Amino acid sequence: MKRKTFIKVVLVLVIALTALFLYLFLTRNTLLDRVPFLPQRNPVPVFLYYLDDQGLNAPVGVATDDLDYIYITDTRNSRVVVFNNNGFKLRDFGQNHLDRPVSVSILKGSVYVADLALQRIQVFTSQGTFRETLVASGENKDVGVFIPTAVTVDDEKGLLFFTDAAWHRVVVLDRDGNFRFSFGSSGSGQGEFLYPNGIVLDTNKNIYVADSNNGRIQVFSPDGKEVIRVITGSGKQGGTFALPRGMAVDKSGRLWVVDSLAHNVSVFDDERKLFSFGKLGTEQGEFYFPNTVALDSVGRIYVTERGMNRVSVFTLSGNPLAR
Amino acid sequence: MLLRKVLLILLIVSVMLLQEAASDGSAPRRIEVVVTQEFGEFTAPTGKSFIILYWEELDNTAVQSEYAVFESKVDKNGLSWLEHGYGSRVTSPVSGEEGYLGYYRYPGIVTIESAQTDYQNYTYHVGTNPDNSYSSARVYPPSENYHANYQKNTATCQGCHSTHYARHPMLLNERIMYNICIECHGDTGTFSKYNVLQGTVEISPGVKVPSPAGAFDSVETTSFHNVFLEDDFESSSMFLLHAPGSGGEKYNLTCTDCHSAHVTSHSSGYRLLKFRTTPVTAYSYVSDGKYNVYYVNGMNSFCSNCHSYYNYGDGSEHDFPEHVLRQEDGDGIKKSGEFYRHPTNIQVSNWFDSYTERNFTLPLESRDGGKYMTCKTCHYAHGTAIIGEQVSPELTAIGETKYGYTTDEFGNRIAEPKDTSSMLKRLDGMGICLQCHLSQIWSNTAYEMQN
Repeated sequence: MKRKTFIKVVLVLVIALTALFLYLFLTRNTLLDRVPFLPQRNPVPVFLYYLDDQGLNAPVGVATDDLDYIYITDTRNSRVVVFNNNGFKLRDFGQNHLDRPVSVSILKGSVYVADLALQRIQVFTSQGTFRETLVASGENKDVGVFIPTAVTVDDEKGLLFFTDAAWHRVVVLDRDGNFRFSFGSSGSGQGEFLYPNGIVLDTNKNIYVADSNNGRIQVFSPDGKEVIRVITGSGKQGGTFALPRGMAVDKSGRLWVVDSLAHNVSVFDDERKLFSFGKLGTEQGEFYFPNTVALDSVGRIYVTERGMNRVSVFTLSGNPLAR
Repeated sequence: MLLRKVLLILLIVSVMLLQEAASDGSAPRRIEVVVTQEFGEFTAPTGKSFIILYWEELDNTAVQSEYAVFESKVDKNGLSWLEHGYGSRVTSPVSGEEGYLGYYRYPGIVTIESAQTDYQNYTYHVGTNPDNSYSSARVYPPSENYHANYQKNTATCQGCHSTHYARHPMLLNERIMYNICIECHGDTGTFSKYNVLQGTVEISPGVKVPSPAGAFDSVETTSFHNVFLEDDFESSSMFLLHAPGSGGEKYNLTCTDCHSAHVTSHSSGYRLLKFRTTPVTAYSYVSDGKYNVYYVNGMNSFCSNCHSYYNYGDGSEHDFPEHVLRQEDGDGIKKSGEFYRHPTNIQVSNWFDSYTERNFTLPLESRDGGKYMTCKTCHYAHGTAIIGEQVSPELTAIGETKYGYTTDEFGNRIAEPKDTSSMLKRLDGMGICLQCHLSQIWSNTAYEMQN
């Protein structure tokens, strides 16, 4: 091959590869959507690594943002710790404005933190600067007193949802902290809660509430007025979770549920339980009082473990995007 | 042949009589309490709810129960009882009740808005009278949970127990029990109104106040009963703790050494405190924005399960005699083991004058018209935040590193090793003593100035 021809071929290859990588980069979200998030048959959760900066003390809440940064409420250290998606700690914040933060959710660059002891929803910037108290127990007459256990957001409507263990209800606020509506009361009937905990929305804005002491997940219509489904863990009547808490919904609409006292994570589709993983233990892949689960855009699964002061990171076998 | 028949008949009659004797006045089993707005075909009026008590009477086929319902009402003026009459048979059992015989319901009514605060002031007793042969039921929390009614959700069993792969002789998943307990009673999750780590109790929705037992692990805690250590069942040694006043005995200490996880024949109605002979009888109530406890009996007996030499009076393990003070021509305080110790479980009303009566703030047991001091009069059960520290002469004498607590195997903070302790006392220094003994102090005390 002549030298000139060789250079031409190399040039063409370089241009082609550059164009291909540029295309992949620009369309990465679209492509990711096409990758099946869960393999259809017999997925096996694969342990990847721990998120731990050698100082977590009873981590409880976890959430991811658009950049796949992972926010963890380091509950007994009264702070939020942020990791990047390679497992490196980026920063921590909130020590002067938090006591027992137990849940976190991110809405358009703002970090909303539910604090169980202060009985407040605190708002920080994504860089960790304290912005405001969105709502404090007893200081908003429409909301009244409350003990927040979990928080989530509707990023399209700009709404914030939190579960309240004081009145056993769900409270919905707008971004300015104005009361929109609430639903639920103490009890074991349909639409009632006993110590509601995790809360999450699906793509249709249906509201999933971990009704912990009733051992079930209740799914509500977006306005909270109607119970459209009750997930009991095994399909039998009555609650069969031991202590359901944190939840997440993946892109395929499947529900991930942490059972804190069964020490496992279960995954459900619209009709049934697909699989579960984890058991009581301290080894990799085992859980020691897990509390909350979060998912990132490339299919990694983050599970906080209060009892082991760590966050376990998993992917599912066959997922080509997770490292 | 005839003799054998007669003997057989006599045996059968004896067994029947024994059964009859045993059932006479015995308490009904398995009381359950439900608070609901729906009761059969009835719906409570707006703002009201029903209280329903169920209990089993397996041998009773009559329409009426053998037992009546007594409602306790406790406030700062004391304890009183309201009798609601006998229960009656459930004629149309709802789902889940069909398998039981002799279920009865007692409908009550309270305003639902005040339910969570009001219910803390009530205990329902079911029996022949409120003071004898009863079973009791607390209205709050009125749901199946890990301590009662767990049979309705057997998934709760696996939270604590393992059939074939347990790590604890009671088939528990955990060697460190507290990790299970704080899942609900800790400060990182919530599943209960009691936060034992921070030492708070929720008296009404969202309102938390100090709990009567103190805090195990708040930032202010200076001493506490150490339930954070690993149990060591197979070998003696590092995790065993000396209990002052035990006579040198060592114990593992976990939450379940004091509290029964389930309602059993040896768990007190109050806080499920374990007992051998005398149950702890006490009633919590909310008054003036505070969480209070009206103690009646059993607390000293309970503490003496470990701290036996500190317990005097009736029923004490070492059968210490009653004291007659020297100024009353007695021999004074008797020795308990190797030491003279302040008596407990004794009537203290005679120490009270009008000043003491007005200013006394420590908890006493009230029974038979008298006031009794107990271990809990001077000490918290879980932990204290007072500053004053001292050493235990008894443990020094046997050369123990008494308060050498470290971190647990997961690095959780327990306490720094130290040689002294604030002994879970309720007040700094000798402040406790002055609550009774101020009138014995000479010089220009506040007492003298005011009198």
